[in-house]
Amino acid sequence: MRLSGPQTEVRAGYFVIEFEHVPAALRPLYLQVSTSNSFDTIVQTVPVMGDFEQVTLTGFESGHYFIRATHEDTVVSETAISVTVSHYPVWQALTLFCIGALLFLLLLITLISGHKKAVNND
Amino acid sequence: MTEFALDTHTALFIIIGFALAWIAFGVWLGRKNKSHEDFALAGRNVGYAFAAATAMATWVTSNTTLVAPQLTYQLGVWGMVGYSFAALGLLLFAPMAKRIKQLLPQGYTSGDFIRLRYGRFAWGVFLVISVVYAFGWLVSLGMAGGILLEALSGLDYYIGMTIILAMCVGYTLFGGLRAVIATDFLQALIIIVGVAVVAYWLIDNVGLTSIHMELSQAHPQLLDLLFPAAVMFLFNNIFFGLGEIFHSNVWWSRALSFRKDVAYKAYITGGLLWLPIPIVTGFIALAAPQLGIFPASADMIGPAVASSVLGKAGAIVVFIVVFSALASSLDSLLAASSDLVTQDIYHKLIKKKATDQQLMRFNRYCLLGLGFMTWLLCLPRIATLGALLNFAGAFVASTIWPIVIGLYWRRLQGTFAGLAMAAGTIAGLIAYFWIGFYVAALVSCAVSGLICAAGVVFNKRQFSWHELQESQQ
Amino acid sequence: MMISETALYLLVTGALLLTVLAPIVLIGLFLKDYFSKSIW
Repeated sequence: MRLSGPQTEVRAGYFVIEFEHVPAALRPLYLQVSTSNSFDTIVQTVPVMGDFEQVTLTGFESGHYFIRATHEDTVVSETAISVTVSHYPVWQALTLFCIGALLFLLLLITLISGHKKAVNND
Repeated sequence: MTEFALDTHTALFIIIGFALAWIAFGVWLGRKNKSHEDFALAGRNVGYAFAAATAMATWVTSNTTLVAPQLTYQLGVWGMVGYSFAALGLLLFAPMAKRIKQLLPQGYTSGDFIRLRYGRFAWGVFLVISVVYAFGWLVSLGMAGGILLEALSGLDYYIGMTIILAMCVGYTLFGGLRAVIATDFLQALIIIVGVAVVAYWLIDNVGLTSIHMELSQAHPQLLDLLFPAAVMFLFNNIFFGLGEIFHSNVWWSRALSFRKDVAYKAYITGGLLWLPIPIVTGFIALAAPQLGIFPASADMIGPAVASSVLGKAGAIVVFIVVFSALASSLDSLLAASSDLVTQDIYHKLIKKKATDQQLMRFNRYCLLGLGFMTWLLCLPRIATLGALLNFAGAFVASTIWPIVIGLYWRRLQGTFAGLAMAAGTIAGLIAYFWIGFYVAALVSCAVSGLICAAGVVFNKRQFSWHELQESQQ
Repeated sequence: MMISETALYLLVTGALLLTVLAPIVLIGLFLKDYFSKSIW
């Protein structure tokens, strides 16, 4: 069987792996995730739910990961696929965060001063 | 053969039972409705308990029970904490609700205010935004209903979607806003108890220590407090929520229906009651890896965990919670949107001298029509859950500044307010497609704010608050 | 920077506690409104 994953870099640490036409004999199916092509160390082993033909993996730090499918400890995927996770840079995130915070603060000041003015005019 | 959490017959039995009970309740509540004001605004005298519960329950949509866990599964701790910041929308609307009651004691809709405060041009832009948002939300709720009921029980999409829509139209048709608010109160109780039971079971049986250990070993990013994607979209999400609440007639008609001294504290209480819920529903998703649950698509994580840990009882709880969450938003949106059409289009444009009874009759036809149109749009089942609402942030966030300034200051005039909403929306949409979803609401709000600021600086004429009183005639 | 177990515990149990409080508050308010005849 063949696995397919995201074609581009993953920016937020979660992604969907799809597999086509899994014969019933290969269930329950597991996915193994490793940081090396030789699968020396397994980062995650993920059971695939029911007879779904895709699974959403999550919580990855930036890096290269290799994924293959197994059934009863035997590898059943033709080749392992690789996925690159590359989170947005922290400076970019913090810049947007600060712009948002500033805009929010302005709104808050406007709203509170308006409210106070209205209460005083009562 | 996929195994469903709940068998189809039980599911059908539950939803038909609920549908009949809610409609009977709506009929019973509707016997008090004598005038259009009773029907559309529950007699403008809703007390504290119902007011607080309806504010909370309407904001608990299918999104809170499904997207909060989804975001937590994808973005970790920041996903759930960030989502709970949407409570700011209710909290910040509290002073505005008080002001709205004061400025428009006889008003009906948010459209009323924009038309009287800013004139026809801004009103037109505002109506376009409202209609896009209301239809986006209605259709996404209708579809979510069908898709979820099918995912949980195998109940056919068309049957589930049709029943939930017919039920909401049914009890709103008979009971008006009173039925919407009273069912919201009961639905709020059901939702809270349901999510609390699931979360408590997880803490008690799986334990936070083992959840934390599993996540830090295999899914460390989920515990990261500087998760870039989550930090990046935090304020965008907040502005999206503020825009939704500030502009939508769902919240304005509630403010106008609450008793005078109740509006402010009801929104504060509703917001505070709502605040912890996304954390509780989100936490359910954090337990998934420890339980070995990895969903096919992230939006199914909440129901998947709940039904897998609690078995059939859990599946029934989830089913009822999700059903209640969908209904408590769908009914509000149907009622508020048909009020908007009745008041802003029929009464102000088509039949200015309509009698009270004609308005009430039109409002009911309008509800039926809206329900039917939503049903038609849900038939093709085009979008995945929530996808329809993805770029709505660009639309609604552009209304934040014009509404806040318009409620409290006299110096912003219609042309600038209308331009601010139009340009904000366009800029937000451009940002959505060129940069990403995480900036649409932010850019829209910022651009609209700049134009409003220019409007305040360059304006020479002061608005007179008396001009808002036209609606009394 | 990872959230510590204690912080996660406080966050989740705190939220759960507040959630459990909500129905009590709502029912309390309802009874108050009911007896003072100010539901609607």
